[in-house]
Amino acid sequence: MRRRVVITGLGVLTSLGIGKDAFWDALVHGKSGIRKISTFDTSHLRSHIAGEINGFDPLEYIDRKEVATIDRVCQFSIAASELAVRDSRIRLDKDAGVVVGTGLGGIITDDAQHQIYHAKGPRFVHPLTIPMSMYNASACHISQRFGIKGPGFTLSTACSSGTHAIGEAYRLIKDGYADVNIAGGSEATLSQGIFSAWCAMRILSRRNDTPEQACRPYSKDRDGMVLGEGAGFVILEELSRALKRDAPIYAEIIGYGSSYDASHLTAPDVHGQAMAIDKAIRGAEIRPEEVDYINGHGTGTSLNDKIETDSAKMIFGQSVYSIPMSSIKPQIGHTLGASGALGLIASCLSLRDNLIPATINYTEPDPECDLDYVPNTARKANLNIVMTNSFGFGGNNGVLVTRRFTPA
Amino acid sequence: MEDFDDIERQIRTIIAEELQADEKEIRKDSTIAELGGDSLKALMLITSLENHFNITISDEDAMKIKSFSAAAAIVRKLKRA
Repeated sequence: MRRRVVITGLGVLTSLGIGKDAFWDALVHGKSGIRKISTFDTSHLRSHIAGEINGFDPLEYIDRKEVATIDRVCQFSIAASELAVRDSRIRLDKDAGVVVGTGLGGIITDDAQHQIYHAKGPRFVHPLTIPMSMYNASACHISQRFGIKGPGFTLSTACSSGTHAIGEAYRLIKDGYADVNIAGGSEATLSQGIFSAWCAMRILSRRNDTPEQACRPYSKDRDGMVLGEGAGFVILEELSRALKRDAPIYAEIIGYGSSYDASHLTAPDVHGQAMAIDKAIRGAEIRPEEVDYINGHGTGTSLNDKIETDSAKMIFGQSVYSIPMSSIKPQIGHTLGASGALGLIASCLSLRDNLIPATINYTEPDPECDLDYVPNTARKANLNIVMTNSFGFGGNNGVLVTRRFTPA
Repeated sequence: MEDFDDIERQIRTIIAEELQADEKEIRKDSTIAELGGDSLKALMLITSLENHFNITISDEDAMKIKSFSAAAAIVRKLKRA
């Protein structure tokens, strides 16, 4: 008998708000968390804006004695997983698993310690630099916090990391290796050195004077992406277990697709993306036209939005024009390894409320991006099946398909 | 053999280094693509041109740097400015 996997808890940290309610309320009301960067000087850089999580106090989640030895990305992971556990009202035991995705791990610690090395010398480098910055630190802290000893790992597939983490955790449950998983993505890359590197790639929006209107996915006048900090974690459970404890069920994961472009280090490829979508839809055992809404990757770069539009057309054919697709990135920024997890969480809340968040800042139709991007205003719609797209650097593609939960 | 002026010789050296191309293969009408470059190599070339000539190349100009002659024209324009 097929094991069904449901999502029973949501934990969110974004520049729009902490916790699923603050996040969702701001999202559907079209608010933006993008501001001028406050934590370091950007005056000499090309970009000055991002989605910082300013209201985050790690001491609400982490002991004072520990907090200084935990990188910001890991602090986010701990907080978001704690929020997901609380939301799910679950009591975790040792058999639960944890799967974490992050694009760049503890890179703020790396950056800071490199600066200290060059400014002061090796004797001043923090002795815990390695365990603070290692990619698996988040999963390690989560396992310790909740006493989780089940299967788990950390993966890094750039901007699709969060999607792949949740997808692989879904498979662990579906295939019988675990009954419960904490899974998600986390990213904190806003430090001066790393931000300079993003600037040098010339893919960030130059609309520094209007941060809230800067990122414009699918709009003809889009001029690049905006970075954001964030973390999204979910509780995944095998259905019978969730029903037994009367857990809140947001959605059922029914399909997951993963693929490589095998073409370019940074430029997206339509065939690779289409392959991931196709795998997810086949795995879900649905017809493409049954998808009611796509939470898009929509970064706001010229190439990404066009290729994403083309890959959707390749799979959905003519029905693509009646499937709304929106991007939440103009509101929270591109949260890289967290973005797929946050997109999935938004998809869960869309299913719960029959409400599609808009693509804000949409000003001008682009003949190369001619789908229904839900411009500027959230929309009520009867939603049964929702797809979440993530397409990362390295040609990593991840797609999740979720369905409104029905017991039958 | 084409005549290259001083700025062009410097650009030729930078292109050869960033694209791992033979300087002798680089003509004034060579495109970045012909020399084995893609979008990422072009990005590295633009950054090197900025640093070498101490100029700031706008996104609009950067998009135009698809050939040796386009790179030379933009460097000259910015050096004059």
